[in-house]
Amino acid sequence: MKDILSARNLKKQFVNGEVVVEALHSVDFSVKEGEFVVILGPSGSGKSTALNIIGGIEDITSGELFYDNIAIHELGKSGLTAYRRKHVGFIFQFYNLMPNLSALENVQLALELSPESPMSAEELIRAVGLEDRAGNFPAQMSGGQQQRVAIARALCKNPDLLLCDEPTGALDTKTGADVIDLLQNFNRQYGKTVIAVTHNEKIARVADKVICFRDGNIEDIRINEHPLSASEVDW
Amino acid sequence: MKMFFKNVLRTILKNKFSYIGVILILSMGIMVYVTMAEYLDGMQAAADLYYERTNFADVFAVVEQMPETDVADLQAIEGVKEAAGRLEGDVRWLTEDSSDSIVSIHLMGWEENAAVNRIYLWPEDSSPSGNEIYLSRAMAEAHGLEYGDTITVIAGGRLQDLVYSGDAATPECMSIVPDSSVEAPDYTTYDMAAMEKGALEKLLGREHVVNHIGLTLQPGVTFSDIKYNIEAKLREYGLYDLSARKNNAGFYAVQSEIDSMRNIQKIIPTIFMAVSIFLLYVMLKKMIDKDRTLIGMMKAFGATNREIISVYIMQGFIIGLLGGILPIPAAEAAGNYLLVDDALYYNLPLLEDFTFSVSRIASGIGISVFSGVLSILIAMLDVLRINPADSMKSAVPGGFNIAIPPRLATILNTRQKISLRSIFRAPLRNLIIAIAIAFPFSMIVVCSCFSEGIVDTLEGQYTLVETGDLKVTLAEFADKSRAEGAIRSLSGVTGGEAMAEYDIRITAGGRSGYSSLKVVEPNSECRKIMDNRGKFYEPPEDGILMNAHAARKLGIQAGDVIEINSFRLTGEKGKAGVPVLGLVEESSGGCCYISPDGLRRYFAVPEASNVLSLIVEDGAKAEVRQQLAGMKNVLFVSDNEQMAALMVEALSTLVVLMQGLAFFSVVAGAVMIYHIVNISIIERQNEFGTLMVLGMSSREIDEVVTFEQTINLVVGILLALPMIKFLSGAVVSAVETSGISFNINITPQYYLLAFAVILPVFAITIRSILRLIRRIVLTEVLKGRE
Repeated sequence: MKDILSARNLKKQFVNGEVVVEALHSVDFSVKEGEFVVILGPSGSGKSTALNIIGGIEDITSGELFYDNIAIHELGKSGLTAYRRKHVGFIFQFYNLMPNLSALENVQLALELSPESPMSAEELIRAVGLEDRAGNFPAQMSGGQQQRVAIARALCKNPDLLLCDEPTGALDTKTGADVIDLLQNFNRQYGKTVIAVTHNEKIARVADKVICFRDGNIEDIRINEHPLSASEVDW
Repeated sequence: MKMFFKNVLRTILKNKFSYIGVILILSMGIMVYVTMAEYLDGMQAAADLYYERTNFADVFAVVEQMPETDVADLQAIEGVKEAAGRLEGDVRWLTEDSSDSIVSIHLMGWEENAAVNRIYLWPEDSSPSGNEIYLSRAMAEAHGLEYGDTITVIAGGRLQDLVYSGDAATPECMSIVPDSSVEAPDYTTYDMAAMEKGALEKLLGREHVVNHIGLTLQPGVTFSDIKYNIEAKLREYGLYDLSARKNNAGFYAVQSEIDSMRNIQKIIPTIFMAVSIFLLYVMLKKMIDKDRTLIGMMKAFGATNREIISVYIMQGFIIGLLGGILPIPAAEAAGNYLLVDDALYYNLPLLEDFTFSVSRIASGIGISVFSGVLSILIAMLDVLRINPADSMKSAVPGGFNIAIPPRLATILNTRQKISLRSIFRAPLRNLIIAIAIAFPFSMIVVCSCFSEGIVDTLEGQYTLVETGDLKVTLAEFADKSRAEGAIRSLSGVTGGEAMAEYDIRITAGGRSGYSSLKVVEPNSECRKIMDNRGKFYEPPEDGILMNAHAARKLGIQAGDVIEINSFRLTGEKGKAGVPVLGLVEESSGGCCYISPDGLRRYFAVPEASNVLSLIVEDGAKAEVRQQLAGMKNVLFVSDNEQMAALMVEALSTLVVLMQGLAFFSVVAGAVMIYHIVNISIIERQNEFGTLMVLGMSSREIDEVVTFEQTINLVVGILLALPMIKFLSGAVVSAVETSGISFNINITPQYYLLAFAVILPVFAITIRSILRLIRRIVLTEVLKGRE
């Protein structure tokens, strides 16, 4: 499999007045097409910053980042928007669903933005097991159900790259396992690349590759020769 | 709760512009309220004090003449407390420019210790004697006179020099016109003056008689209780007019203005305050909703509702206090300006300083604080009802689950569909924005329509009704054919008519009142009869047409037969039954109309005239005035063009007030639109952030917001339509108390004007909101819970 994502000397600084915080110190990593990658690290290690940069919602201070042949570091605002629209799906820790739209409508909204999706909103809702809650608003659903809607919304775009920021962070163990199961299915069934940021080491067991961050540096990159399926992990 | 309060304070500082907006809106409501209260309370207090110090009469009578010794007999009438008579009469003043201008003075006999209707004099403790004359301050100033200057008057065909020695005022003359043919006071050409009683009697050649009588009544006695007894007593002296205080010209002019303003005060500031409170509630509710989680957390920690409420009440109290205190200096200044301006117009002396009232200021601040606290309490109701666990979650939307119709769905693009869905799901949020648009829109339409409508109506009186150029009021009735001959003899006059106006007493169905009967030629060139919708009427010969306002006061309807009694038409005790053929809803006035043939039919009097209406060649007015100045029987000449301007000036306070309200509405509207849209967008930052992450470009987000807000604009304008109807009806009925009736004709240009004002405000708001959205930091907004 070819590298679909590669970062070289990637650096990110946050400047707040005279205070400069370096969130990433010249990191290098790559991700192969169809890989399930887990970025692991404690709070403040730079993992979410890295994910946001990969997703094109955070700019790069210096270094290079390529997605396929696209030089992300050279893209302007509209280029990043097009990149997100065409290639990237996002799942957040706190779901970020539209509060005034039902579960089904949240998915339909994303479909309206990416009409070339191979699946209908109803199919996606069914795929995440929420056919009974399709008409419910986010405030009427549990965290796990909301996260499933967020997954359906992300998947409906049929993204090449699915980015997940602490997807199970706000969920209980069982629900979190179900969510990981869904992500893994998406990765295996459709051959799509998934990158998940987490501080839960157990999730790392389902990954093909684990990138460990600490204090803005990559501490370790390890390849899982035999990744487990979500149901095999002792959560 | 100290730290919780600190957190709320910091939130206020963080959202300082929103809070400044809330305070500003509240301030505007209070400013309008206090300004009008200051002005109206001041006017009323000044007028009341004036009435008290002059012992203003409860009943006024005008007779041909009455021996002064008979006046005391009036006190014998049951219910009469005091009676006083006074000789009054008009004289011509030969001013320096009298070759082309006619100035007349209404002289009143001054008597020390007059029981009723005392004349107020300046300098205080001075009194006129011999050939001294005390003029109204407005007239003296208009002619640049100083104490000691000599003026020359013509009385009884003789020239007499008088020395201007002081100023005089009386409540009866707060709005003085020579007779009912002149509709607006012009203090440069006609006003009151006072002379010592004996000196005036000599000047007018009428000794020991009075012609104006004032009566005060015993407590609990009303005019209607004693009206018929007084009429019976005075009829033998040639009674022209008998009226209660409320119908006295001076009192009526001031009181009707105060009353119509009071009506407007009830409507406009109430609307302002209602809108202020509503918006305050909306803004605070939005702000408290943002604290939903915080409140839930405080509850989870064991804080009681009372403890939480107390923190927010303090917030409402501070907002209310600031909103109440900040506008007070400007409101007091504006109210005082209106008061002084109006008092000057009405010759109403401000005998005491009425500019500061603790209770008025306290009530303004009190209303503001009450509004702030009440808004907070209502805004908190929902939040306080929920349990801590629920408060940690977002609220379930309460909108309508309306699907976009398929046909519409094919027309709309994705962004427009998102906008539409957002509107359906949060109808209240969008309704509030629409109301924020509708309020200033309707106020601009009504206030601008009102100002132009009333000016058009009053000007129309002199372009469509009084179509002559100059109107001449004669001192005495003259033979009609001689009057017509005089018109023909005037050089520079191309046409004109000799008309007559008679003071009449009308009795119908047990009620009686005083009016005037205008004798108008059919197809008259100079005087039309027109209602406030622009329909013209011809003077009838088999009855009369009557002003609808005057008819309503006497309970008269079209088809009724009324009794007319007039010293000149029927003699002292005679009366004639005349049918009322129709009622005319005129924009002003209160008289009746008949044709010369009709007059002959019902009243056996020779044809006479006391008013001439002249059509003058272009540029020949001065020449005509010069000729009229040489005619002894000419009392007053009014230029219809000037009269229109004076009529407009008479209502200038109201017009300025309405324009001021329109301005305030725009400012309040701009603040409202900006803040409500702003708050609604801020609370949706997460939503927009998500759309951006899903791949929507800034331009597409702009389209979503612009489409949504454009729909709000359209709904706002549609909502404004019923508001305009309500407001215009309320304002028209409020103004009717001042004797002016008009229709607000809302033409498309007013909607365009309102649209032209609102659109830039709206566009600037949307533009700044879009900039705000572009500044959204995705990583920040998507980190938090929605």
